[in-house]
Amino acid sequence: MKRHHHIFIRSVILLGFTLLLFKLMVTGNIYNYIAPKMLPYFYFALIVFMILGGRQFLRGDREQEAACGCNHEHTYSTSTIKSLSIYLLFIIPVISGFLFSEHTLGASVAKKKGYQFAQIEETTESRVDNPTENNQQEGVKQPEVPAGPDETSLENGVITPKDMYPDRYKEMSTEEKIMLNDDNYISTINLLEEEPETFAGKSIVIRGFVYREPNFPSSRIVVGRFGVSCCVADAGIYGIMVEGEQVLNYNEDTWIEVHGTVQTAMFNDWHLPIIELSSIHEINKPKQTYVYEEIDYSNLEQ
Amino acid sequence: MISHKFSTLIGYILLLLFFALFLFGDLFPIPDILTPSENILNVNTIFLSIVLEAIPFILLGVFVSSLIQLFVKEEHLNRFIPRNPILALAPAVAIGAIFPVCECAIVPIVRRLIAKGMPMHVGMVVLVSAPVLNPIVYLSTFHAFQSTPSIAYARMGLAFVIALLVGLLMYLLYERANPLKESKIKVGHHHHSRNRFKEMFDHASDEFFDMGKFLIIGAFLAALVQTFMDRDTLAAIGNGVYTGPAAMMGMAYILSLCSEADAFVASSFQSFATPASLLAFLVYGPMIDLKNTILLFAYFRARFVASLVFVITLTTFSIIMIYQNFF
Repeated sequence: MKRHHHIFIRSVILLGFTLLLFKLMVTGNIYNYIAPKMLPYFYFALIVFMILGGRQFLRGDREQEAACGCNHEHTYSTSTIKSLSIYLLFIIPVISGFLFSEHTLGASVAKKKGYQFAQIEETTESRVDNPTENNQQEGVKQPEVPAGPDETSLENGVITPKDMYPDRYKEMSTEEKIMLNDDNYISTINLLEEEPETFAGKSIVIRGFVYREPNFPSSRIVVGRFGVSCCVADAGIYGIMVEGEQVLNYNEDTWIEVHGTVQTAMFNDWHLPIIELSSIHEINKPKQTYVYEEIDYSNLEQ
Repeated sequence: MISHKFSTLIGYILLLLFFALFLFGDLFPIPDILTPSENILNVNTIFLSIVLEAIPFILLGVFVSSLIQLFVKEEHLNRFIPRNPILALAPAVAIGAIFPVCECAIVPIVRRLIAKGMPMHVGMVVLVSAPVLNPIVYLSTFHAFQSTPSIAYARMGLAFVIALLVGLLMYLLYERANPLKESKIKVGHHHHSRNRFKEMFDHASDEFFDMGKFLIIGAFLAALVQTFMDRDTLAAIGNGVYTGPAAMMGMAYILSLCSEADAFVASSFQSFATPASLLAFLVYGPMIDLKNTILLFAYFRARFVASLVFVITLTTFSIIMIYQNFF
């Protein structure tokens, strides 16, 4: 394979990336891979790919100048098979990006990542040897831990969502009905998990996909969504347990809307929010399946 | 000759394919015909998300590297970096702290700096410190661990110490040996006749392809492990004094997260990890991870990469152990 073949194929691949990025951005499917705050970088990448691709295209055409005599450090492989298999590495993501960009993560990945409470239930016995794990609980005898849950958390380095989302906390405390949407999903779930007692008895409406832990009784599910901070590789599941006979009919990965009441349940000393079901129905999978972690730097000064 | 025609033909077929997919990709019923299993689709999605997220930063790194190639002369570097190898570590950390570059972008930059005559161990300090000692990472850590700013301070402090130690150890191990592959870089050759911008774009494109293949392989391996590895298994061993930080470092290595995002992932481990384990995760991940190890193979000798990984691992683990005992 000669130099100008390399350059030609490279220009085509660069064009492929340009088209892929453009299409992902136009269809919005780019959000199935990265968080919206990363978008400016992708405008940059799109433009760079366009320039590089165009430049390589012209370079291959006009400048077959071996006269330069300096291939710099970049030696182009002469073996056709070897070169093509390396280019195949670049072609695969472009093609699979065009074909499968609608796919989003669901229950099977949630299982691997682990819904945090499932883990807690399983490891009850061992928890006593582990100081940090006990911090969030009340009523566990531990010398250096003071009483209230708030000081406990502050003292031992556990985030208090209350400090992080003061506005949402106020909102949820005054409202009768807690509604979760794309923007308040992460904050609401964090707050509910932190202080289930505060919000017990309020009615709640939540949408998400169905997911079951292996050790759950059949009448219990988690309804949740993936939260993404930069790219999908760092996604984590945000969800609440739901209990009721009606959940039996819903398979994993079905998108549902749940109406119910927030209750607290004790799982091996842990107070956790759980929704007592009043109604449930299937919904269409939303266009944007993930929720995104937004950094609010204005809260940082506190 | 046949193979030449073949290569050109392949190029045109690809061009056609890309346009067809771009215009009519949604109409191709391929996902319905192939019906790949859920797991394969998940690997693909995570793989693409890592590749896509890294691409803008790789491009950025490649551009900075091309700029250095064309505009920085060896004399400039020599003036900045003290002759004494130990003193030379100081400006290295400073460079690392100033460059707000993540771990993908720093690899081509450091390689170029070394090719331009920066001592190897100084380059290594820049390589490991830039992705973690930087303002963006500090802010995101501060946010993710808002109620315990000590995590953010400790992350920066530990990274500073570890980066210096890594540089020192690499100096003791390799002194001034050339760590770059086949030393195929000719430094200091400039073209006067040609347009520098054109040249910069050509460099950038060549470098994108040199590095891209390693990025793609690395992202694929990381996606594979992410999809099939149960996190609970790692978490289960993550309780002990030694096993905790070790497990968290293993996790950081495998997950290959961007240093801006890893603090958020770490904050979700708080329920079962000690602060020292969290710091192990936060300090080790940006310095070296699976994706980055493979990226390093693009430019550095295999044995050199192996000892670098070993030195970073050992240093991080020891420092975390010391930290754990004192704080």
